[in-house]
Amino acid sequence: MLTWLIFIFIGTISGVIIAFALDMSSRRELIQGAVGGLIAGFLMAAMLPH
Amino acid sequence: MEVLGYITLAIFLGLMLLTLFGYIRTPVQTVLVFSTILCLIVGGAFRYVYSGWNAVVLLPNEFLGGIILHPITALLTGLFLAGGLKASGGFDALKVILKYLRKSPIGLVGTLVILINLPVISSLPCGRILAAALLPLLFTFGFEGGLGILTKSQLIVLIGAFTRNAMGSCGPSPIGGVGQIGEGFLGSFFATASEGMLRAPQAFSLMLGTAIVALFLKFISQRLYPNDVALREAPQTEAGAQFKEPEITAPLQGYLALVIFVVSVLTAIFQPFGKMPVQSVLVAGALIMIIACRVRLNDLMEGIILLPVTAMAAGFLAAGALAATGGFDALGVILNSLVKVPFLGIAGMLAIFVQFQTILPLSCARILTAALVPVLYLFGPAKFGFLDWSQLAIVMAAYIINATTSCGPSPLGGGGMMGEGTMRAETGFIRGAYTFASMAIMAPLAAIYMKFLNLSIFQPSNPNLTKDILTIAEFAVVIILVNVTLISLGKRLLTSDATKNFMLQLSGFLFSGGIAGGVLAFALFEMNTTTILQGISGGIIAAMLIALMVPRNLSRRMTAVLTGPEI
Repeated sequence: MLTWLIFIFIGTISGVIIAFALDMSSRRELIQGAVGGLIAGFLMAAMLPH
Repeated sequence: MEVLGYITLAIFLGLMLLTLFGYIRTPVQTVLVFSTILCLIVGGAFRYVYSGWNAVVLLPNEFLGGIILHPITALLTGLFLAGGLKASGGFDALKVILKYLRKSPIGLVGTLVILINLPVISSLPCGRILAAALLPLLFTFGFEGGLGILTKSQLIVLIGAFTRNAMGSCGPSPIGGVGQIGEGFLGSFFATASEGMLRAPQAFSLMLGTAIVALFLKFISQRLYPNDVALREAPQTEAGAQFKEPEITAPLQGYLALVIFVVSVLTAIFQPFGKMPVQSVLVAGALIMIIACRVRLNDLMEGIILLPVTAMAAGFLAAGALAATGGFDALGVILNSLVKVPFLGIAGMLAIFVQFQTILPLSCARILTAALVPVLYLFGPAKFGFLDWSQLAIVMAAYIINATTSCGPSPLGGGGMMGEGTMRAETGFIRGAYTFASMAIMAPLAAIYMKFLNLSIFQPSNPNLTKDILTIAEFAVVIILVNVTLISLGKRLLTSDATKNFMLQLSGFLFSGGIAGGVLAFALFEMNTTTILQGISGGIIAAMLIALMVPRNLSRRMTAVLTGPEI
C-alpha cells in the first residue's frame, strides 16, 4: 500500500514538472499533466514487487 | 605481488580514460577485451616469477569464474522477446493506443507524461529497444515530423526527457536489468533480493530525475547551446491548420504480441505459477508469439541488440581479470586510503564512489557495473567492514541508479546519442542535464527510498527498519525544490558568455553535489554531523569531476552551417 501511495505521489509531482517544462502551464494542462503522472506512477507501482 | 594489482588497475583505468577522451577510437568492448588480455599477460608473468608455472595455469579459471551468466541470459531472452514484439507490429499497436489516449480527458500533456515514463514502466532490459521504436513517433509531433503540434523547444524537452527515462529503464528491468548485478551480490544476505530489491528505488528516483531533466533542458541546455539543435520551428503561416495527422494502424497480431509480451513480463516479475527462471518464462512467451503471431525465429533474433550483451560480457571479463590479478584489492586499498583523509572518511569516499560511473560514462552501464559492484560488495561485511548489510543495500541503490543512467550522457555511443540524433543536436547537448539529474536527484533519492521503505520490505524480520513514506516524500520535495530553485536561478543568470555560463553551471553542480553527498551520508549514518560534512565534501569532489566533463561549447560546425553564407 505504501509503495502505491509514494509512487502515485511522485508520479503526480513529476507529471506537473514535465507539463511545466513542456510550456503547458495553464491550470487545465497542469492538471492533465498531474493525472498523466499519477497514472504513470500507478502503473509503475503495479510493476514492482511488494 | 601487491604491485601487480596497481599495474593492472592502471592498465584498466588508463585504457578506459583514453577511450572516453577519444584517444582510442575503438569500440569499448574491444578495449575491454584488450585490457583483459594485457592484464592476464602481466599477471601471468608476475605469477610465473613469484609462484611458478602452476600459479599461471590457475589464472584462466580464476578470471572466467567472474562471469555471471544470469543477467547475460536474461538480457538475451528479454531482447529476444522484444524482437518478436517489433516484428509483429506490437510497437505500432502501442502507437495506436497512445493516439486514443491523446484524445481522452488527460489530453496531449497527460499522454506525453505517460509516454515519457513508458520506458521505466515497461522496464525492458535495454533502453535502446523502446527508444528505437518510439523516438521516430516523438519526432512526428514537431513541424518537420508532420504533426506540428509541438514547438522546437517542446520537442527538445519531450525527446530529451523520454531518452533520459529510456536510458535508465534498463536498471530496474527484471529481465536482465543492470540492477540484477547488484541484487545478485545483495542476495548473500537478503534472501529475496533477487526478486527485485533494487527496482523500486531506481524507478522512484528515475521518475523524478526525468522531470528534472525536462526542466534542465528547457531552462539551461537550450540557453547554453542555443544554436546547436537543428530542428526547425514551424513557419508562422504554416503553423497549425495545414498539418494532417498521419494515419497510424497496427495489424491484429501486433495487439496479440503486445498482450503476450505484457503477460510474459508480468509472469516473469510476479511468478504467479511458482518459482521459475525469468529466462524460461520469456522463452515460453517467445514460443507462443511465434505460434500465435506467426513471427519467425529470425525476427526474434533480430531483436537482440549486441551492444549491451557484449558490453556486459566484456565487463565481466575485465572484472574477472582485475580480480584474478589483484586489481580490485589495489582499488580497495586506494579507496581505503581515501577513507583516512579526514575531510572524506567513509561517507565522503562513498559519496564519490556512487557517482563513479557518471564521472566515467561508458556506452553501456553494465561494463563498469560488472567490474565495480564486486568492489562495493567488499566494503560491506564480506571484507573491509565499512558498512553493515543494510548500509550496503542503501549505497548499492544509490550506486546502481547512478550507474544505470550513465549510458545516457556517454559520448562513446551511449543511448543518449539516439535522442540527440532525433532532435538534430550536437553530441553533448544533453550531457549537462543527464549528469546533473543522475548526480543531484537520482542517487540521493534512491538511497532515501531504500532506507525508509525498501529495506523493511526485504528484511521484515528486523524491527529497527521502518516504513516511513512521509520522510521519503519530504526528502523528495526538498531535493526537488532546491534543484528547481537552482535551475530557475541559472536561467536568470545565464548570458551569452560561455566561460561565465560554464562557471555558473559548475557552481550549481557543486552545490547540488554537496547536498547529494550529505543526503547519502544521512541515509547511511543518520544524524552524525561529521559524516554528513564528509559526505558533502565527497559529493562536491564528485560533482566537480562530473561538471568538468560537461562541454563548455558544442561543435561550432552547426552554428556555422546555420548562420553561414551557405544558407
